[in-house]
Amino acid sequence: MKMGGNLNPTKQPGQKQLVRFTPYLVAGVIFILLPPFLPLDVQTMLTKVVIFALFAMSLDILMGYTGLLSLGHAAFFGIGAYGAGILTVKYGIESFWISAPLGILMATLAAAIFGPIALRVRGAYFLLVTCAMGQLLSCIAVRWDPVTGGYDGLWGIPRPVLGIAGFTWDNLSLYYFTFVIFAVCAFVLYRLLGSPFGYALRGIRESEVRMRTLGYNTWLYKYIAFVIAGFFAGIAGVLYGPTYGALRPPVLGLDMSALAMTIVIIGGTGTLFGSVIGAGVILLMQYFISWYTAERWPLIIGVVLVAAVMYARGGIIVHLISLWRKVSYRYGSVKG
Amino acid sequence: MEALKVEGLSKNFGALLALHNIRFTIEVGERVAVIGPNGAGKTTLFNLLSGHLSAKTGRIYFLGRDITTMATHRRVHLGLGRSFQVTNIFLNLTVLDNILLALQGTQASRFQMFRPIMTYEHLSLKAENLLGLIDLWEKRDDIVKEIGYGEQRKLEIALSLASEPKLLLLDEPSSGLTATESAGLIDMLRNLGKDTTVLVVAHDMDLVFGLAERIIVLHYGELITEGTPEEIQADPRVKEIYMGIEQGSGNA
Repeated sequence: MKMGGNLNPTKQPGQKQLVRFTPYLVAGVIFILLPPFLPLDVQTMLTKVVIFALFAMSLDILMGYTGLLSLGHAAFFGIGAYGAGILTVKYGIESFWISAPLGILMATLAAAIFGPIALRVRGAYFLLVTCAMGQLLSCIAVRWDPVTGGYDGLWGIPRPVLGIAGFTWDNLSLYYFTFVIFAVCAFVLYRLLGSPFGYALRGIRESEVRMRTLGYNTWLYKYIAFVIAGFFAGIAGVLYGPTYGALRPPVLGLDMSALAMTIVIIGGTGTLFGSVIGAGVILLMQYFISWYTAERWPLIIGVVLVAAVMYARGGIIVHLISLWRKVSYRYGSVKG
Repeated sequence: MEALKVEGLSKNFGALLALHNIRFTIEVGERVAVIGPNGAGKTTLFNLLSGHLSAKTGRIYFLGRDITTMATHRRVHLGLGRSFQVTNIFLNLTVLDNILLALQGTQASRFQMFRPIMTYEHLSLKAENLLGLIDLWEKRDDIVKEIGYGEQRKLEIALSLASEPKLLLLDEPSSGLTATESAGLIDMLRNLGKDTTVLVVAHDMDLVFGLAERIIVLHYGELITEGTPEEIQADPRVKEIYMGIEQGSGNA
């Protein structure tokens, strides 16, 4: 299994490009052309897929590329969501162009402050410290009732006010709005992870000692990665509020962090775009299963996670890619 | 000029004194070997020189600069490179990615966040040269954990050469190599420019006597003696250390 992007420097001849890019075309059809023809609640579900995909991708920077297992990543997602939500609901800042950047800024600052604390420890301890941070913030959200709405949560988060005269939201436009932001972030992340910086993160995952011996200040790389991951989690967070309309303290805590981790693992750790598939699988299941049962959801997600780890190690996307290679190899289009 | 000067260096792990009051100097361009039985403190010495461990007492000067408490990555930028006894490479990355990371480590572009790594032409050229040197260019797209052990060892050496270090610390570079590969390695190290100083830890006596102009002998954390290969071969204390250990009976 090859982890990370395959940046083969040998150029592929032109006619092979079409076949090579077919997976992207399929994704484009599903996410761009298909939504107008889908039922309203499926459009909303797709919006949620895109938000959770972005959230999970930001976690994948740490988990998959840098080798830092964080169970507190929802802290930054939640701060983004709560930050923008509180500014809108409690402080009457209507414009999304003000509340959202401030929410993202809060998430990024939180990551910049938490980073040095969490990065003092490694491995399982890093997992525990990050987990504690998320739980701590979740507790603050419960206790700080006047601002956060306490245990009942923050209600009545409106759809983004963009300041465009005569524009009103429907499910579809909210989806496209979210998707465009997602797509821009995904492109930036893709470039980031293919850059010298992104490769340095992979190097740290493989051997931090060797990276230091090659001249890399590995602590600084891990810290920057942590802050960048917090920034993108914050973006996912500010999109989450208007889509769900309400926020409750678990958004910051362990449940949400574990959900993101599950999405990353099911989709494919260290594959970036695997998170899109992971989010799609999880939310589609949630959508259908919620017709029948709500309280058995944790059981079902547990079974799926175990099945994914046992039968699709490396994540669904890795298996899709190898399947695709086999198919295209058969038609003689792509080097196997 | 002195490439390396070590003064009164000591290191203990709890009650175990791993190195005691080590002092020696190495001139620029010298090829020096450190020998000694297992547990003599050779790798500990390397870890102190490269900054992976910090010394209890003593000072280390690199090209006249005190680096005793300097972080590992900063020593690398001054021109200190090392290889590891236990192969320490990036197993899940390709051969080419390994080399590119090694080349990038001392470049300003290592913090670049948007430009694809493969678009740095001068690094790609250097990577081709380095991989050509160790016969791995054909395997550049292979995942490192899937190539042979000997090839991994050669990659290990190539990673430490990538930053074009002024002082190269090699920890058992020939372990796991066949006799032919080992001879090739000795040739390669001999052909390094005279501005590169080499300090090598080895059990492989072909490597030691084929490369070193001077030999330092460590035993139980003490520097027993140092001298030319001829002097060391003739030294009765060195014979005793090695013979004593080989016979396992104390005195020889």
